[in-house]
Amino acid sequence: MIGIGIFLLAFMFVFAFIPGLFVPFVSNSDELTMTADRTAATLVDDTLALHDGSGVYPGILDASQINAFASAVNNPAQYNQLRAGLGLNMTDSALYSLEVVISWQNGSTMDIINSDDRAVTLIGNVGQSKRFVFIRDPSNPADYPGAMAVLKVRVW
Amino acid sequence: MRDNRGQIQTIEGIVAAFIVVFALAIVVQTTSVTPLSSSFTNQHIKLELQNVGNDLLSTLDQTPWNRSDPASASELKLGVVTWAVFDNYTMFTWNNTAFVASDHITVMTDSYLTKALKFALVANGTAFNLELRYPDAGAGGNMKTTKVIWNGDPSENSVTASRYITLSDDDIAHQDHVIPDYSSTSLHATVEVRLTLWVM
Repeated sequence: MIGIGIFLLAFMFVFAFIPGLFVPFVSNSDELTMTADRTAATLVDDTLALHDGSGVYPGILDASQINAFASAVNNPAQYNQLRAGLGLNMTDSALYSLEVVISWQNGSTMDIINSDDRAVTLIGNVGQSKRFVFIRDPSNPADYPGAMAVLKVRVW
Repeated sequence: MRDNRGQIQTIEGIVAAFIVVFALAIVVQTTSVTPLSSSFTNQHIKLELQNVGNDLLSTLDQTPWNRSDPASASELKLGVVTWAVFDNYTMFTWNNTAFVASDHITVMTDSYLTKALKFALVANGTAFNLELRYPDAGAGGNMKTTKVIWNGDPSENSVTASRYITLSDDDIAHQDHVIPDYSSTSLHATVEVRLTLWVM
């Protein structure tokens, strides 16, 4: 009886312990990943996309929209509205932080991030989504067809 | 010999068997993680690759080469036609500095397509193949595949992105020897541009 008791106890212990061994390798950032994908899609296909008389060009970004977006991110009131519009608010008080990094073909990068978000330590899960875009300045015909860039959206 | 230990020993037997099976299952799942095994490429990495591939083809296809004429050929189509006409359907491979043919001398004619591939994929260490699929001349609806850029057989974790373009008889010679003229009208053929991407 004592023997089987110890045996069952050891068995229970192993059962309770083994899932813990794998915890560091299990990602629970699925939600963040999906949020990042959705945010990237909204930005690339609509918010930052080039608009003209004949419609929207998903994947082709307007340089002036990017500048407007960057200044909105650093304006607290506009930033809250922007995040609400992108569906980045979990509750009224807790909002996801957002970072957009644009790497141009010529090697230059643009890092769009709110200064408060930068202060948030990057411990924990971060969702990232990567998109390939063309960035065009419609007011500058010499710029056509625009510069290629990779846009990374990070959410945490 | 008669006693009452049968039940306990049965439970013990079942539990012991379960532990053995459980241990085996863990061993089988863990030892196979090598850089090339199927669990190495995360589902999200695949999704990212596919996004980049789709973006690459769709942005090029949405960019007419002539700014003032929205009906002019897209950069994607121009890239394919450039390859067909100037490179004469040669298969190219990335050699770390350029796309070269099998003679290691002929370099692929530059287009926005090759520039985009170099920037978005080569520079990020993504391996890719670029192929064209089009209807064969004979009836029967068979499809033919021609390799444009071939960097080897894709891994089993590859993803594909494709985009259809239409070639007219103005774009490509009517008596073209590779892509057959599929119709008697000015339509030459509908071609699927297929990009296969994988992480090396």
